[in-house]
Amino acid sequence: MRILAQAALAVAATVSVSAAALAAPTISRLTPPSRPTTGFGSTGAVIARFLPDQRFDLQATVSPDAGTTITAVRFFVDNVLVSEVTATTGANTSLVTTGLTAGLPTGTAVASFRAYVNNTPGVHVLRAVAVQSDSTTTIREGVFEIVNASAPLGRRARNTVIFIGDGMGIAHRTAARIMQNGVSQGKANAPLAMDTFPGVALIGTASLNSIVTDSSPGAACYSTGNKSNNNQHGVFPDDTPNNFDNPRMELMGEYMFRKFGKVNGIVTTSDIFDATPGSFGSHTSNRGAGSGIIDQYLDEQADRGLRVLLGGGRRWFLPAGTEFASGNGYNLLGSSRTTALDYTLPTDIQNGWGVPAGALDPNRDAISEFQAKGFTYATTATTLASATGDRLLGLFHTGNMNIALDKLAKRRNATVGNIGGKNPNTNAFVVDEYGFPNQPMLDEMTTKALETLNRNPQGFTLMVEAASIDKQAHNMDSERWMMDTIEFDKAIKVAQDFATRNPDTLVIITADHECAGVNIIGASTVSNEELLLRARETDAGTKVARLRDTVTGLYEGAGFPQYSIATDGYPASTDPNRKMLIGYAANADRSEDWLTNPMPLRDGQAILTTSVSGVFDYDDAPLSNYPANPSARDNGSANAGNQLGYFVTGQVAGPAAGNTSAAHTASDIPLSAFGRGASLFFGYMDNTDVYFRVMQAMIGGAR
Amino acid sequence: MMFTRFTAFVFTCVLVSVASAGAQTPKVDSLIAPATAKAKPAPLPPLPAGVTHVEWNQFIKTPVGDYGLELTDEIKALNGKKVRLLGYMVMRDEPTPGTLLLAPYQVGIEEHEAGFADLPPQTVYVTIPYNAPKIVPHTPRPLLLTGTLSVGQKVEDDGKFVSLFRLALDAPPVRRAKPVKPAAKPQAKPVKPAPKISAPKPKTKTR
Repeated sequence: MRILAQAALAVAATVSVSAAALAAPTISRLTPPSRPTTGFGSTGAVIARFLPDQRFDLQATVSPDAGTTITAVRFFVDNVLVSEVTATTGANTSLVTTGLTAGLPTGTAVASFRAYVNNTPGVHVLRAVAVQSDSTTTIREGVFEIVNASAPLGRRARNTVIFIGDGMGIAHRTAARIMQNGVSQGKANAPLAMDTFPGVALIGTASLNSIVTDSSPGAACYSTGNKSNNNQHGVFPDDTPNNFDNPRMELMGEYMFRKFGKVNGIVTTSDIFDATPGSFGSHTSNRGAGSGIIDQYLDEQADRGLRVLLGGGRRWFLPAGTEFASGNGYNLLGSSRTTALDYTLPTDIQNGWGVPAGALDPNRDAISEFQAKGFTYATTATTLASATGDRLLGLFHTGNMNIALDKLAKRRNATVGNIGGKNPNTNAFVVDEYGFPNQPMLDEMTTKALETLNRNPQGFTLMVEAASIDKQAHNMDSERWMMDTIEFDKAIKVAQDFATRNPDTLVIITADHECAGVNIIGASTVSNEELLLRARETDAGTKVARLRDTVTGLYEGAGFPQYSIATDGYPASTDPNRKMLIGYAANADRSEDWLTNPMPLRDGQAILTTSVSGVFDYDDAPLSNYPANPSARDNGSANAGNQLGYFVTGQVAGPAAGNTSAAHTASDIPLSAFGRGASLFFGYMDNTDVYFRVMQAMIGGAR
Repeated sequence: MMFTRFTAFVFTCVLVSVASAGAQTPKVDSLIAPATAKAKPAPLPPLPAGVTHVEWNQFIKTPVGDYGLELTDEIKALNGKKVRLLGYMVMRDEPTPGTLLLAPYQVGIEEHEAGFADLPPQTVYVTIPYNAPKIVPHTPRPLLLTGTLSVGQKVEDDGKFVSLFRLALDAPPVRRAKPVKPAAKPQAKPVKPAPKISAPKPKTKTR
């Protein structure tokens, strides 16, 4: 009611002022974003929400009438002048007329006031008044809300661990449960660790500009409490092409360190510049700007609470250098650092946020600089296990870490069951061919992260991401995302045990979005041997009948697939008789044979040691037997392990349209909560709500 | 014109037909083995004198150590030598004139999004001996390239790509001129101005 009343006042003000001028400048964008306060879409709901004292930028894009210029933009909050921004005010303000997005009207200016804070809970009216050189003005208004998260509802959570199963929808979870624990006579034989969490909610995942989000806004909502455009995190959209000058909002880690001295950690199985880890330690409108994202971890976060950084992506930390670079006496070749993906910040951001200018420095040796800041550096599962200290950098791969299935195959040395993980052409393990044979599992990374962060007396926040649930769902590689989901659950169990020992800890399990429209369609009606025989048949004409029509067991035909568990706690084989079958609603073109793929798809960061001199075909690569994309897998090509499945036409664009992978969907995703504050999570929640409930648990407390 | 001559000489495209085996009835253990027989090795053209053929697994040592990648002794020994490589031209959205990237397999990149992050580390930066650099049209066909190899990390002149390996292609051979008719008056061929190549757009602008 209060919101509606204020919105009505705002509308009245807008109408009265714009009617006064026949010609006036136009404010085409006002940040933070708001819903229209009148007309279609006006629900009164607030888009942008912040905590008391959480910093965010105010910005307006203003276009003048022909022959005039913008001379000033005044920002008011609740009718109180915050700042008059002109070309000369400087400090934490700027009025920029150059370097803007192409196509804006001549003379367009972007006015910014950086690092604004408001301490009063409730809805506030933001008003921008633009003045042009003929003294005419215009007004645009919006609203934002300051959310009170300090209501004394109980004991405070000292620590929070947010687990993000990237792309993990309900079906990914169910499939992992069936594979890991089995179902008998209608009941799961045992729950996953995440199934035992008492707080459960459904989460809506839409981004600021689409019902289907990508990982940047899908993860950043948990770090900022706000929506972002796709491909952007830690920022609102703007009207410049610069990757690093967008209006910022303070991240959870930054806020909790500044306000409460809590440290934070980022753990992922992806390349550590990737969108989800990036959302917890950087501000950019380009999730691909790896050099700049890594440098922000180092420049802005390492001295402001970041204590643990574990994942892949070593290539961004190595100096590009010149020929035969060998800093520290070590070989430092293999850098991906480039000026084009690096960052510098405009002075208003530097002044407002108190952060360094950044630099376009492809020759930077970020590993050495992290070490100089006191970080212990780990590179393998072995060195991770022995790492000590209160700051930890672990880079276990040049790019994305390998998938659980492939890591496990090496650990088992192929003596237990069959889960793939070997290149049948060379009989070499996938992780050996990728060049990183001793990568840690996610539960080992989580254990060390908790141990390291828990040394801080004020507590911590930690984000743990299982990245390849998403990456392998994109590839429609069913057994690989299932094994990664099981790996994820074992990491969750580590945090659950920690929270049991440290009761003032909140553990959240969620996702950024669903990926691939995954679902469990039933189970095979035939044995693994029969499936292999049918997949080897080369007569494409009988494939549909032999591999689909007489294999897909539906309803009671599916029965209860059973997977045996090896001593390492993971399924011994992912191809038992009458195995579980997966379908994809957002699928790209693929060939389906239902069998575990011995190798993953190619990864740009794989160091190919395979060499079969002179053997190649037109469609495949010489010297690389890894399929290029799902269409090139199980298509009957000459590579070993490449069976002949039946062709499934994708529902999303196919190779001819430049797409070869399954897509994210707009489905809600499940959230589970355990520990202090778990009771705050229930019903349907917007993804940004999660942030404010976590903050309530940590600041105000919960029962 | 230049490109046509160049293509005819350097881009020796090799196409191998795939031999497929008929269905068999093996036991389960052997079912993990190839579904179809490996393709019959395709003979590459004979190596010219003084040229070494290099395979993609000869570039980088594995396993990778604690920091960056290490070059193999084999590839270091070939620094400055004539080599031959079989690979694929990387499909780029912002190609640098006078160059191409050669990778072990067919791959495309979206430079405007993520630079060169999705390329394998063996990717070779190939420079082409044009008088006036031109953008090389993409071809999906395999390429057999011969030139002088240089190894070691370098930020390329375009400021975008960090190369570990470079191949300076041999110049095309001097073609024998067609016999000139005695009656024809020798005429200097008008010099065609070099095409305007707009510089690649910078990724970021600092406001």
